[in-house]
Amino acid sequence: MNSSFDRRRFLKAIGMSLALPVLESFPVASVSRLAKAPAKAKRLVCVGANLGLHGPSLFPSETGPNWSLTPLTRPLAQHRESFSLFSGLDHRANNGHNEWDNYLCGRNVGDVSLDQIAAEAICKDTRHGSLQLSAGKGSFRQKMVYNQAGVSLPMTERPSVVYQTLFGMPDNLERTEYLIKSGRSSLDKVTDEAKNLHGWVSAADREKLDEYFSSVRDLEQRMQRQLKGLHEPRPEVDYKLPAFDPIAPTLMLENQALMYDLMALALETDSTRVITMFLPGLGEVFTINGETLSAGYHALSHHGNNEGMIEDLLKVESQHMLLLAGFLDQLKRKRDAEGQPLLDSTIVMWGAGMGDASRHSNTNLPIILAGGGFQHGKHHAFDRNEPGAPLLGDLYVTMLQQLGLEQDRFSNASRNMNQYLA
Amino acid sequence: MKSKVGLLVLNQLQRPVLYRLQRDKQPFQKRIACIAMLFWGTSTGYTIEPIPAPSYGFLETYCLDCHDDFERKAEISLEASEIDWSNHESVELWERVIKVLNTDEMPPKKERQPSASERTAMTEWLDDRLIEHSPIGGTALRRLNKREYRSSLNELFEIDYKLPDGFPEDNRAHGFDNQGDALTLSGPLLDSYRKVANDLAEKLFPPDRKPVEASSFEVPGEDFTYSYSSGSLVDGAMRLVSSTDSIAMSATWPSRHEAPATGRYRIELELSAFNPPEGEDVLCRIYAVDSVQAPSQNSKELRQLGEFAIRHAQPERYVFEALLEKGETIALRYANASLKEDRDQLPEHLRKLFSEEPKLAAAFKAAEDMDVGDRRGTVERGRLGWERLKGLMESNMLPDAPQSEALDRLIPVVAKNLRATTETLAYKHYEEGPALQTHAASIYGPIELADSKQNRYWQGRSSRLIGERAERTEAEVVADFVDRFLPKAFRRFVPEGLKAEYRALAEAEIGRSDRLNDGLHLALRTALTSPHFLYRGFRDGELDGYDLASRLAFFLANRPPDNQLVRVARDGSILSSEVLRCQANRLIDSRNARDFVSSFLDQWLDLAALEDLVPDRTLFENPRQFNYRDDERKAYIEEPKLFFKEMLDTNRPLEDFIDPDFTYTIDSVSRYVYELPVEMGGEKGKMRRVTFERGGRFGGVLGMAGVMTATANGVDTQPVVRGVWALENILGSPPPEPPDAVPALTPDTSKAVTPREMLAAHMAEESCSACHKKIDPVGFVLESFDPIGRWRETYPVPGEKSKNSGREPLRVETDGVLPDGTELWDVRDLKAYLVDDIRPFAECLSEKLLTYATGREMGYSDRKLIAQIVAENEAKGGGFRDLLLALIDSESFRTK
Repeated sequence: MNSSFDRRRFLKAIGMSLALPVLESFPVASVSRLAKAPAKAKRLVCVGANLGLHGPSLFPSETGPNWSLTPLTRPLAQHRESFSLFSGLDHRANNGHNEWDNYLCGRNVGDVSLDQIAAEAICKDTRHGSLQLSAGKGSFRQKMVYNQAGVSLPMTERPSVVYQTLFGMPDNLERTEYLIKSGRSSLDKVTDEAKNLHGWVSAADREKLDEYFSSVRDLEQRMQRQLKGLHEPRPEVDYKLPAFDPIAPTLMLENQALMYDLMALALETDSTRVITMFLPGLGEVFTINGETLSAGYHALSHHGNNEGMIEDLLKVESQHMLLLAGFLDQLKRKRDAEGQPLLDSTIVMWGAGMGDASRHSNTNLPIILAGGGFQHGKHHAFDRNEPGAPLLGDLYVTMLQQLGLEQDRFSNASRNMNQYLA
Repeated sequence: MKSKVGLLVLNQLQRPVLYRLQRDKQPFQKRIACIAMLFWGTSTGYTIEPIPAPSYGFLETYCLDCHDDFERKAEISLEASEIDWSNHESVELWERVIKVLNTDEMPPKKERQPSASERTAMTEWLDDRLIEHSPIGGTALRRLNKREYRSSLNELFEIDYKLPDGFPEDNRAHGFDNQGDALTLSGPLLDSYRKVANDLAEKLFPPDRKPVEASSFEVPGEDFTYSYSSGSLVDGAMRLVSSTDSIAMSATWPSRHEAPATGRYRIELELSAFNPPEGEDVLCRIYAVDSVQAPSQNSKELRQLGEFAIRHAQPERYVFEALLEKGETIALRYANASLKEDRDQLPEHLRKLFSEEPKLAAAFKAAEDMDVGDRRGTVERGRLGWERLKGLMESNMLPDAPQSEALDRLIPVVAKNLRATTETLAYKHYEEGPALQTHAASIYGPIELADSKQNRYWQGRSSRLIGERAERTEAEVVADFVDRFLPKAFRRFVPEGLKAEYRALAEAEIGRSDRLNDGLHLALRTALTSPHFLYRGFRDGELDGYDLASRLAFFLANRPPDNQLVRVARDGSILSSEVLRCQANRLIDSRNARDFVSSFLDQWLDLAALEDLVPDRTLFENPRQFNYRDDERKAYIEEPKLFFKEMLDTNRPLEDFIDPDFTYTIDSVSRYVYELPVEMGGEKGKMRRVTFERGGRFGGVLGMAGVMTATANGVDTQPVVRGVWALENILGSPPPEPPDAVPALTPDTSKAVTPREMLAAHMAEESCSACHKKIDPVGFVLESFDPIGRWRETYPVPGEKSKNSGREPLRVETDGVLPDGTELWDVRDLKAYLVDDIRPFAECLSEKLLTYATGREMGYSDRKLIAQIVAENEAKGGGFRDLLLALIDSESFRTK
């Protein structure tokens, strides 16, 4: 039987509801606290690719600083001193597509994800909390971000909606203000109604009502933040979106490019400090450089070692790497409030919850870590069968510490990887 | 139910104790208290039961050799001496155990077998426990899903509301979008509900219209915009030269103006005519365009604001007043220009130009005859093309102008590329005319505010919602509104106390702002974010009248209960079989049943995937005949729905789902996909009912093209994908999830050639073959259908269609053997097999219907009941409609 402690099941057994505060005796990520010293990194970006990368074409055979370029690192060549490559890391969890979701959660799908832990600590005074994006549709199958209550957060798929959220002005300031303020009495009333209902639903259904309570709390915070943000001047951005949203599956790469642009602008204007982006991998049949690939992206990733399919797959994956390189370019060119390149204080992680889509294996996850004030340039290779081999969660601890959180554990990891990035 | 009450009682007692301990902040004591309560809860829990000796003896003798904690074959261990029935995975496990015992699948044939009485004793015990611990019912308290939410709003306000683009999608479970346990609520989603509620309240009970000060907006010539070479700025004036219908290709409009509010505006234009044609005026037409959408709009569909005939070369002032909606601006178009991107008009225009200017014809001909590099010398689009033509006309190498027949031959060639030639000629006219010149514009207003079309629409809706305001006090309006609206929104009887709270909320707001609308506004958006509106099914156990009516209405009509249903809910008569069935029949026969059929089939047969699926072009050897055009795609999606509707309307036997003698399709699909004889002369693109012999490959859930396309990916087919789909959705025996700790396989499929060979490598592994021996035979049989549902005997040869590399096309091999020994040659055998004993399919379909209807997975007792209902229906000779009514009248449907 499963030995890891399932908090929810325990609480159900003793008939309690989740409305109670987290009991500290459980090995769950505790509420994040910020350390006293100023943090080296101030922002976090996590990109998760549904279908990962073809390992043999990504990982060089050499480790350390003198690794030779591989087909998938070639597009990132000019940034090689700005990122670190990790092979052999994983969460020591189960295999399969469903388990992909634990990419940012750790051992268990549904535990609070890395970005939410960071957001709770560092996004308190930005106009927006964390942003969850998806380069096109596909978000209803795979989830990437889970909040403290274990509920997955929806992802925005349309660049125009992202743009409007970040930089659009509400039409009528006074009316908007009125709606938010009066909305509070609205929320108070419906919360009371839910409390009354709490008394006469079954214990199992109480959990559902608890989702309602925590959603109300979340919404109250958003509205508070929105109210504050109303009178702040909107950041001026010199950027124009195309007339239509590339939402169709075949346009996922275009969508991805726009999302990277918007992410860079969002960070530059300090509209938010924690962003995640999901790269879907379903039936998209891409046309790259005028050539339509031989099969859908998902099919290509399940290549069964067929050379032709791998060749086409690499075309898609190279595009991902090219777009990442472009994003790193932008972060290097854009400056923060102190005039330093944004990338120096922004941790960018590009990875996946699946190491080999063709075999549905979730070990040896592809992890590219850039920026954040770390020392980069090396390929760190690990072997999970070696005693004391680090877990991916250990890397997350390092990332959280770099962001200034007092954190010494993440899910099933209780060490850190500071020595590799110092 | 006993256990749930017990837990409730425990809950009341436990809470205060824990709270006190937490305040004490003594973690050690807390931990002890937690553990103590765990024991308390679990020791009085009837949910953990020890396995009685005879049953455990059975396990030890026949099961534990392979399925103990150490061996864990197929990841299953039955070694534990107790069963925790509160654990969902445990319940599923023991359901699997009883299933494999009943079908004799376990113990495996080669192992020691229990005697018949031993097996019976074991299964009877398990059956008894499963019935107790997996009782009928169990739907979680569930929120409205996206489509139910939308249809509820539409019904409440009699509108056709479109949810905003960013509105989150629902999570799916068990194949459907309305499952209680998957429909979670998060802050962002609640925020979306709030935004929609605000939007509707703003429209129905709008704030006072704010006075907008009239202002003047000046637009000099250079601030006009255009696209696709539709305009050109010359000497500070915007010149227009073409009368193409599309705004993007003929018009100009201010680049930065949009009307701040709906109202009347005074517009002044400074216009002149540049080299108008002899004796003709330049007709300037002015339209209202959306300032953002303008490039995609067409002048034929736009509101015309004015028209002027211009003949002077000097700029003159033209003034008029017009209504502009908020966000609109003006667009100008040279309405009678001879140049137009039009198949009929462009050749006429060319003829006229060539007769006036023979050198132009000569230049075009010279360009056509030239070879530029390795390209034929067609004239470039736009300005570059015009420069080239000019250069040719001025050169002394220009040949003679073509006359009569040569000219007749030249014109169609030049006109062939409509857009390019129009754009090239535009540049000629920018230089030489005729052109409409816009020097400046000035837009002043709003002189007077007006109700936009939208305003008037919502005013109408608002009146219907609250009735006439005249001759009633504000308190009366509020009270009447609350009285009528809340029961409709909450879909049940609303106690006086709750109504009073809403009245108080509205009145407090009116007191604050002195506006009736503000009070109604607040009450409305509170009701629309209330758990009473967003959720249904608060009470466990047997559904009361209102909950039953809701369930029936959302199931069969995708909307909340209508007035008739509310009446029979209120007086409780809906709880009787007679009334319930009568109402169900009424809904099935109503127009709204289309929504049920559509939504159910979009999910059960995954037809929704067809909306976005774009098949690979190389599948269409003869695109002129068939290439999956829009109407063909719609036919693919519509066919199963019309088929299902007829099955329901005419109460056909369930066997017809598998092996029918009819289907619905359009002519081109009938001929080129099904290869059925079709009589000519039918209305193109219209769905027709076609008939054929039974026992063939046509029709039914294993023959319709849309179904086969949805189970492929537009490029190729995969036997495993289709096989799993068929097991899950047709045969009702879904394969279990792949075991967790199975190491990732690396089958080397690089040498395999046929799909069968590729999968044979999987069959060699024992842990794979257990499931694949069920999946693969079904998947192979379906290989006869290509990715777009056409029948094939061979696989297409990859590579150039014309250059046949001499390779033999691979034959599609569909033969196989089902685990029970039934031999299959192709899909016709599979159909016969299913028709022979229709109950597994009927049970599968019933399970899908009830899962969709109740919002939960069917448990053990539910499934036993389904089997019983199916068997009874078969015995009576009942059809599909009889079955559906029996399912609706069942305890599973009537229980939460």
